[in-house]
Amino acid sequence: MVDRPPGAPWTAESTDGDLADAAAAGERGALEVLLDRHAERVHAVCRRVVGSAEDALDAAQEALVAIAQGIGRFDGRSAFSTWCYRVATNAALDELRRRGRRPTPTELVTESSVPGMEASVDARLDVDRALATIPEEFRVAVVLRDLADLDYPEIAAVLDVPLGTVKSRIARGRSALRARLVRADEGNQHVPTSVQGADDE
Amino acid sequence: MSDEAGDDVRRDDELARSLEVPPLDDVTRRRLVRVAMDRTAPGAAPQDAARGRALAVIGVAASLVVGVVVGPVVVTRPKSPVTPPAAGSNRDVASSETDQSEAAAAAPAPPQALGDLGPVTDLDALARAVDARLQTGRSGASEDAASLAVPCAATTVGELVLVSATGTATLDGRPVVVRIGPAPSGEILVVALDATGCVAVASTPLAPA
Repeated sequence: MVDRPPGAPWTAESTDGDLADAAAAGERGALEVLLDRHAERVHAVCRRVVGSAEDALDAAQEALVAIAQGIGRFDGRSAFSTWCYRVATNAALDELRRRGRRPTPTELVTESSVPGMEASVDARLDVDRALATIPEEFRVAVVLRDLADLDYPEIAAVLDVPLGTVKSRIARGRSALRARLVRADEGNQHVPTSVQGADDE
Repeated sequence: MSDEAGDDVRRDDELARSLEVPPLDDVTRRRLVRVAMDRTAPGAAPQDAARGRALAVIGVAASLVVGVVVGPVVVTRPKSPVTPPAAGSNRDVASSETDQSEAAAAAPAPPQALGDLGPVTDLDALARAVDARLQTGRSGASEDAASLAVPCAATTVGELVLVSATGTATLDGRPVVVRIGPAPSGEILVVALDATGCVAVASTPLAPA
């Protein structure tokens, strides 16, 4: 644990573990630093699982509230970021179920208001559309691996499924996603062509 | 499938680039954090914030409604847009408001200006946007002067006893005027009017389910 004078502000050097311990003990400042530090990754996972920019914000909000409310239950057996991803994933899935629908790929108007941004907006919409068409369990697994960069055991812990299931879902999710992105690329030339067989080792 | 056995443990960098999400702007990120902190502040129940806002709107509306019912005078709304009377004090509010209105005989204070709420996909999202704007306490007046000139200002919304707040939005691609206020039942509603024809197209409760 990093030595920190009592009452001193928490800094970027403060570890997640220290912040989580302090937050669990009631230090609101530590909790705020922790939430701020992980808000981006929570939102990113929600964004790709939910598909809608607006619904993702709602899911991310609920996830951050859940993290804040449940900070006392974080036992430190996993990395704090892994725990955050678990909460974010659950919040995103809850949001989807609350909507009772498949993720709807949308983009906020502001994201495409900058000249020259249309291409990247199209690319993101293609990704969202592609993600929306693959089964939820595959989508989540691919997002946790290739966006969140969690390793397989971490993903297994987040999803509470066996390691073999994680591997299968990722493989099938990637395959399905690449196929859809290739079709989108053929349509608008904005999405990078997938590299066939990149994972064949 | 050939790679179903899971030999590949590497991150797929190409997919990673495709999946990248634009970073949150500072305002949005801080708002997310602040709301999470507020909703988990010691003693705050999860619904307290939303209930408080709904009560604030109801309280202001109730003071006007009671004034209209009690006497044939126009009730002057308090200067502050959110000054809810204590529960059960409607009689006191009515008498004090009646006094004020007899002296001022002024029109009710204008609705709180929420400004443009941005694009929303459905009514639930619209209600959440209204909720979020009310939470931040922003009036919208300083950030978007043009939005103060809200269309359909002369249109009466039958569902609402009065309009407590107003704004604009784009509801599923359609420009709408948003009116917030109490229904006769006391429930706070968010009503969307088509900005072109000023006709109510949909409404939804403000308070979360």
